[in-house]
Amino acid sequence: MSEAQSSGAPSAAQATIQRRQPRRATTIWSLLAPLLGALAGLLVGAFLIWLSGANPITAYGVMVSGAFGGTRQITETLLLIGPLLLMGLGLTVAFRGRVWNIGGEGQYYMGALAGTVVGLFFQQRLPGLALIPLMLIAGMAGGALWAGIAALLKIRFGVNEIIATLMLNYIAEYTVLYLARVPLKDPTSFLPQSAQLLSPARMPTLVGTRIHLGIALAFLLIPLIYLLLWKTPLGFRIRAIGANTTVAYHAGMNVAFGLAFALLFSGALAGLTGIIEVSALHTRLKAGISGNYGFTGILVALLGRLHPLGVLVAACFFAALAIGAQTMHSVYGLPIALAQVIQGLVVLFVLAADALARRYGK
Amino acid sequence: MNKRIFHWAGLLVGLLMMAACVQPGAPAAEATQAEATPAAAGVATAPSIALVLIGPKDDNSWAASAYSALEAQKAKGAKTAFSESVSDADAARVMREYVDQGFNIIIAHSFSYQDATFEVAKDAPKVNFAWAGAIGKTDKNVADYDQPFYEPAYLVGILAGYVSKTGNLGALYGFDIPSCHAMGEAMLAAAKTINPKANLTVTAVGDWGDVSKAKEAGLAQHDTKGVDFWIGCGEGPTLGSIEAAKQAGGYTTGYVGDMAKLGPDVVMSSIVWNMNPIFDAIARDTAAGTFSGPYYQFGVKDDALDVVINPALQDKVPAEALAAIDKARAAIKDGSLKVPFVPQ
Repeated sequence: MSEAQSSGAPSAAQATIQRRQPRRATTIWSLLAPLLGALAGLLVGAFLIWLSGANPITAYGVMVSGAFGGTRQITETLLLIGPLLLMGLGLTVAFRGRVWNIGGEGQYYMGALAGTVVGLFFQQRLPGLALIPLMLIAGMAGGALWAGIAALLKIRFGVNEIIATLMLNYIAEYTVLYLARVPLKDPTSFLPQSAQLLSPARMPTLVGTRIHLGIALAFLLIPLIYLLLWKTPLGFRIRAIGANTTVAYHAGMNVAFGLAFALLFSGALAGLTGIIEVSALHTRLKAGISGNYGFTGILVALLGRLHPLGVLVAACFFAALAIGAQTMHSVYGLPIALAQVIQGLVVLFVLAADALARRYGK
Repeated sequence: MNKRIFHWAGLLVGLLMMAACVQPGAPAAEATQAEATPAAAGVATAPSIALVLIGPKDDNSWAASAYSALEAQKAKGAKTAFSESVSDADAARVMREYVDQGFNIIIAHSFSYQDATFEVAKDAPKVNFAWAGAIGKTDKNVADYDQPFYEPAYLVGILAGYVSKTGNLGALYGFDIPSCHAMGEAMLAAAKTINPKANLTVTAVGDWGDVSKAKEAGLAQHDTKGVDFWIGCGEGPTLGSIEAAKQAGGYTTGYVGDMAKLGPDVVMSSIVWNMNPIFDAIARDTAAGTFSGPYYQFGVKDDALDVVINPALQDKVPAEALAAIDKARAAIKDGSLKVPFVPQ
């Protein structure tokens, strides 16, 4: 968590250092460090690939073309950037206020549940134009309400939100799975899953492609989150609480409201991610509808330095890395364990380089 | 500080380049060539097959059954590829990758791949798909394949009827889905023909992979109901039943793979699944151009499913049990015995 905290608080000491030194050098170094880290991770990975008896250059060629090699590959990467971006942006707001929401996974499930229930109920009565916004709102409400439990526990009883949100993940997941295979079960099928969302309840796509509304929303939120955090009083309040809760309190800020907003907002975006993914990809509630975005989203937000543009870069990085690693296995035949190890190595080295840059780079 | 790091980075880059240059003579190149040869020289009618697995290919069970059938196709000259441990969220993307690679057949070996399979199949009408639904849901270019594990479970039930001291049988399912439910019911029906007092305790663990949870469920069945003979549906539940049997005593059954090695003293028999008939049929129909989304149903009579006895426990199995199993197997094969299918 120390890594998280140091990134969450651009502290006074940091500001002083930045004033003393030319700022540009720090920025360049801090941008360069993750790149070098990724390179080092890939180098170690290359060594492992070579040990396994395969050609690292061919393998990495397959990796790159798997993520960017053509229209289909770029589409797939974009489709994966969407959920990571949405999740990372929401957590950026929470982490800026030093609210450690580890419950993105549970909020994702609850958003998926709320949105899917609305979709299943109205899909034969409403056109898509009316239904999709309703589903998205329901998804956000589901995620926000689930985060709201943790917010209430934190504000009223002082329960640590890390523990509350983490534990609520399990309750959410198993609740949704139960509902999917018992009350919401597809009556026409034996399988333990809900009925399927029909076309009015499916994310509209850009003509001729598989890029859907959810991806557009994710990108649209980048500037909006920036405006929220840096150009509104509310954003200032969240950042002030994150920088120093006590000072913010004595400055007369409503700390409880700020905390609750940060937590609920990240919950709403996690819920939105859930309903978008179910509507666009999974088409029904069942086991395995989460791609662990709640946890990867934490890395995306932290690696993105809690800045919307940084989050975009981190989301692209994670999406390309995940798809590339998968392709090294599927197409090149590298053992899946090795592909996953390389994926983990790269992330680890990037995080380590990032931490080193913070420590020595100034 | 910066300079020092750059030096190290430079050195690493240099090392990689050296390693890469040395590379071409290494085993990988040979492997690629060896793989390329059969495809190039392969029979024109052997269609290429890609397999998507939800678990690891060497799981000794569900995924391993499909993987060994894929290997058999490869040995016959087909170009093959596979992906293991593919989550539901990634399944569609992996299948599209294989479509792009020009594979003729894509086998999606999990019922949870349903929506992904049908979606990709719609976009790739020239590729033939098969998914592990076992519910008879097909499309023009999507086949489904049945998994009548209840047939061999009936043979296991005969064994249970002879071997179980209490007559209390236990079933552990991942979920109470039809193919699981029918296994427990078939085992009970067969056990009752031997021991009329036989009864069945069922627990749906709620997870296909959670071994420790399944073990606790198995122990609870033992402690509360006196269960001393188990059958599992799903890898986690089955491995859990093995651990429970080791601790509490009693015998259990391997699930779609010979699991005798995992519990030499407790796995009395294993249900084994030969998926070659399914893969053969898909390859044949694709090569002949007659593939039209069939529902492949291969069971005990097609040698697709059977029960094998653990040799280490052979002496614990009464001779009349073996004879009764052989008789029932023959009866299923000649059609005189129809194992009851009780889906829920």
